[in-house]
Amino acid sequence: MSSEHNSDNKTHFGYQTIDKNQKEKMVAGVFHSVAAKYDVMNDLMSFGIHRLWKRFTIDSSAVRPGNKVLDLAGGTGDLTRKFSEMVGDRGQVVLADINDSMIKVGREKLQNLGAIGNIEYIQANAEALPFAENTFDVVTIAFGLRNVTNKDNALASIFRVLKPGGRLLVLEFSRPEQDWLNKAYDFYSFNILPNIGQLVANDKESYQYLSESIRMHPDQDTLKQMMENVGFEQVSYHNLTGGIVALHKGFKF
Amino acid sequence: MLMQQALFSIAEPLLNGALKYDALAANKLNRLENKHFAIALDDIGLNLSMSTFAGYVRLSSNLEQSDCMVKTQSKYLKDLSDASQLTALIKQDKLVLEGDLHVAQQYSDVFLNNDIDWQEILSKFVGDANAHRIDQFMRALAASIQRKMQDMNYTVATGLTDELKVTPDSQEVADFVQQVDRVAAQTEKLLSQVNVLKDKF
Repeated sequence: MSSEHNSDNKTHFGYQTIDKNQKEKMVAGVFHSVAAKYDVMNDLMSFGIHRLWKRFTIDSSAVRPGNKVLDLAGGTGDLTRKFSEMVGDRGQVVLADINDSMIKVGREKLQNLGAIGNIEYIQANAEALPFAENTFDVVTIAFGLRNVTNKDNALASIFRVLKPGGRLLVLEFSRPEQDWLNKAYDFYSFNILPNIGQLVANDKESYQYLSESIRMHPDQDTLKQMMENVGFEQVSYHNLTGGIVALHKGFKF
Repeated sequence: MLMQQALFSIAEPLLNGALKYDALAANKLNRLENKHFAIALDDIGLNLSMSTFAGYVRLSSNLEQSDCMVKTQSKYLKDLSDASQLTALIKQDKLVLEGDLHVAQQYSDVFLNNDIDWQEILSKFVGDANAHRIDQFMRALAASIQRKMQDMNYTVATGLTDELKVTPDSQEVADFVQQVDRVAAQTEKLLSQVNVLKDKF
């Protein structure tokens, strides 16, 4: 049983409750709109700390030369670039994203940085990954899971494509541990963040959605339970920046 | 945790940039491809793992894949330069050395046996005093690992020759070589005498 849906046909889009079949299109609209300014906005919104969150994720991946890695919701390719260096010529990294605008921006950025040769770009829905089972050594999904319509289906799909012994890393906004931080974070998210979005990307609504979608995302323990429900073992999470972000790790055995 | 990541993200490009000034670094790093050396200071929660991918040294806090690990506490760092203390620390479980010490030795060779003025480079970021301390610590650590390697080599060698007697010591080998030379000389002499006699008859 999913822990994130009010009924079988309804889901959240930020604070709105909508039909499930609408969410994919609406999220796509958001990311088509923000793709061009995505990296700049990430730096501005997080004061550059997203780079450290991603660095910690890469550290936790234990990727080795020759590994096959899936960077799901890979967006503009921050993780893919590092994984590409780490897996080397014998390995492969697949950057998958449901949104073609994000892939386009990611591919251009990585090619300009010289990251070519062992990277493949695929437009794919996390809920129905187009790969054979037991394909990847590591799957990461950074700031993508909360945008997926049915998270349980996505986690099950990831579990299927992971090799036995492989690991999933979910980097996602979560629930701050301290009450004062939660309040400060709320103020920032709903009063400052959308205005930065308006100023820089000329798009207040998309960043309003971002704040709302973070609040609607399952908290640390709920997500841990969801991962265990689809078969992941040794699931643990690590709070970063007081729980504003959490990195969940789970293994398939 | 994020403080470590911040430090590593500053130190990593600095380190790799500095290594470009050493002509031998590329060859040395080739031998260290995908080798991980880790230092864990339990009391201050500092985990540092160095690994090499495609000639680039990566710094990380993940100790999962270490080929060699030094585990201790920051207060014992200064004792690492004293060989006698080193053994005592290991016996008291205050210092743990795990894995292939050659990896540690090779990394110390990359960072310390080169023409790079580390103190000068580091001082731009952490100040003169801290740069000096870091440099001294790294040199002490490298020296103690080298001594440990020598101790281990000596222990293994004496264990095989004197204790287990499965291999001869160097004097026995020299004696054996001398005896072989003597036998060879005598055989040649005998052979030439046989040839002389053969010619006569």
